[in-house]
Amino acid sequence: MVRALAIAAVAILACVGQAAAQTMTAAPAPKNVTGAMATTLNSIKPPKLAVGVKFMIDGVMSTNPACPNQTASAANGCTMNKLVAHRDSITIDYSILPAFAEMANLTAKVMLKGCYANSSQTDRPWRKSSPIIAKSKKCPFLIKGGLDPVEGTAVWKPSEEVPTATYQVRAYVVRNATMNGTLTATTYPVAYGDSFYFDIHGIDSRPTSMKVAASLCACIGPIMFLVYFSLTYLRKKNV
Amino acid sequence: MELDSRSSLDDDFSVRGGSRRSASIHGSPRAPLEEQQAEQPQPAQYRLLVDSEGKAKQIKLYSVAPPHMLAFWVNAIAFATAFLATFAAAPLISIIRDDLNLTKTTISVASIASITGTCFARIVMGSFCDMFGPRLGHAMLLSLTSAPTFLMAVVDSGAGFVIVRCCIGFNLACFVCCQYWTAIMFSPTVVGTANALAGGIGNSGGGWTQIIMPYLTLAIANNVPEYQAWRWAFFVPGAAMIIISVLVLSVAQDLPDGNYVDLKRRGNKAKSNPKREMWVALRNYRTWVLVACYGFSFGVELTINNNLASYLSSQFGKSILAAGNFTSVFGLANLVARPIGGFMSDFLAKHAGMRGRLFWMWACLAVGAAFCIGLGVSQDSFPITMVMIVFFAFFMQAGCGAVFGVVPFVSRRALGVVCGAVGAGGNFGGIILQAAFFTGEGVTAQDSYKYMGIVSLGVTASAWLIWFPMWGGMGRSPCEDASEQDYYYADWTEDEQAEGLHLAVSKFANESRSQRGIARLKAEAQAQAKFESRGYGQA
Repeated sequence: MVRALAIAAVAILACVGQAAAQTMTAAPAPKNVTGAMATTLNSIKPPKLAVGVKFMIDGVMSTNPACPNQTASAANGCTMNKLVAHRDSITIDYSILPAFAEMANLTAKVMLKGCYANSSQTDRPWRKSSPIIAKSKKCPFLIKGGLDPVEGTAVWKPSEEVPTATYQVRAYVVRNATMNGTLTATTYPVAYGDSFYFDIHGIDSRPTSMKVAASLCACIGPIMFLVYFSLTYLRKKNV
Repeated sequence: MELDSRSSLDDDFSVRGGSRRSASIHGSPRAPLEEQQAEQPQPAQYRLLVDSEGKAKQIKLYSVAPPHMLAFWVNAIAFATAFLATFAAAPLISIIRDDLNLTKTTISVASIASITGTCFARIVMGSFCDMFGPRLGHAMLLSLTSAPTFLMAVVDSGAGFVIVRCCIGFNLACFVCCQYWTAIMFSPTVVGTANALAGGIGNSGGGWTQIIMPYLTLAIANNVPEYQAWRWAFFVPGAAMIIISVLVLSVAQDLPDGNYVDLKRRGNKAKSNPKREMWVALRNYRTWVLVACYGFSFGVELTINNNLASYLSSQFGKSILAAGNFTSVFGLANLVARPIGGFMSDFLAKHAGMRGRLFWMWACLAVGAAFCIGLGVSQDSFPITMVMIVFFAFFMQAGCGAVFGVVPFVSRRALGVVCGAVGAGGNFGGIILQAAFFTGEGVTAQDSYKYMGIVSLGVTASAWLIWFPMWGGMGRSPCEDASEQDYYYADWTEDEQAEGLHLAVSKFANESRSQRGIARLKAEAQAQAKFESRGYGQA
């Protein structure tokens, strides 16, 4: 009994140890942020960048502009562009608004990020915005960093991991920016700008082969049991 | 590991091999013993010590000797497979929620749905086991619920996700088959340990799935997108369910002397009366007290299985793999904690009788609830949170094991229904806790754990209400003139007793005298010897 419990306890400790090792090598989450990392969106308002987006959908450049409202409808006269992840792409153009031309003198870079619209954050705490930019989960997709702070262009082809949701592109002007888009004590946003909205649909995660295999396999268990029950219980009842 | 329980009382009843007829507990009570022996095939040669009912008095974990230990291992693995399939989605929620565009409410509803369907299934499964045997119960649940497990791969909406999780969750009724099977294979003196070992191994499936499914998904994701990988991963638990159901039907048997269908055909098993058995179980207040205790102990465990991984991920920023590994500690603790709960229940019963079992059960549940409160309080420190999780898991699961050290003694006639009702209570408790504390955005996860612990502490105090006339309770002594026979025979009506149907449990009633505790039994034996030495009671 003692030996069996000891073996089980060692196995559990091994699992905990492995998980601890993974945790130690993983990047720390910005839970308690201070100093420059505590920059809030309110502190860098109003938006100082203009961000425009154009869409290549199924190989054809879309003539529909992005919608200023998150929920496009015939009533507000906007047809939402619907892109498919891993197939379509978005061309992003940004520039500093004339009223904030002095920002061109900053030692900074622009970072473009794909962000969930507020309508796609509802009842989804894992996408929730936070007033503190470093803690916000609104913009998880880094499109490109290290861009010219005055004006520039970039192309975003949403990867297979981008889920179905309504999005916008946000451009941050970041002091001492890192290329991977992380915010640290010495890299922090000083300005931003948002594009209008568009929809992205995630990839089709159910290929035909999967549907066929699942349907066939789902029949095996019930048929097997019904045959066994009929042969064993109904036959024996008649014997 | 070998566990057995031998005392001077057992000398009259210890049987090795086929030296006497090992009649089924449900054997025909009307025919004289000699006539029955002439009609029956020769009893099996058992490799374990058995009591007068043919139930094993030993547990040899390293053995797969038929029928007892083979049934034990097949039983435990079948239950573990059911748990693995039911909670397979939990560690993958962070991928599934994006693929299916789920909301927090939908995820919570799916978690509730996964433990809802089985509530009624567990009650029904009790009667099913009484009629058809636990073997068929396991096979039916696993083979039928393998279908929704495979179909999880083709779900494309929140509604579909909820429905499929509900359907898969029906297989948690395997718990009833598991506890019923060990209760009819193992003697009352080791039944607590056997129940807890099988239950612990089975429940650990909830821990194994937290490890297996993320690793499986990430391995498959090397070749296909992640949003496809989690779907292909569900083929593994589906296939396991089919394989295990074939194993259950082909290698194990229901009772020490055969399967239900064969014993019925030979007339060795009396017909059951499901309505009467249901009434007998539900009119006994002890059933309801144990339902409440298990509901707010195992219910807590189910809630943790559904929520802890996402809590560790969002509160402490853990990756899907790390969160799954840490959460698995909770489920895997079942391997150690639940058997300890059952073993200590049997150990204390040997010395202090049923009162020892009850006290141990209540103490474990109360301490476990306290550590659940601590889990919520330690929200800012990950190391302290893990310490709380380990102790919380140990005591809560030991308490769950201890509950099923008491369940086999509530009623012998309605054992299946009692097992089913108490098991269903676990799921009802999980539903109530999930809905009350883990749905919506009104309560933070940290506060949810605190409130859950407080509620569990209060409800499990009802264990003080349990009292057996012949064994007593935590707060009250037994009646000196109450007997086990009186208690168990009372489950039969006067008409049934006139036909002698109640005699089917006479051996069990006799064996359960061991729940008086060694001290009391020795005192009674000494008093009886003194009485006889003075010439009283002799013809």
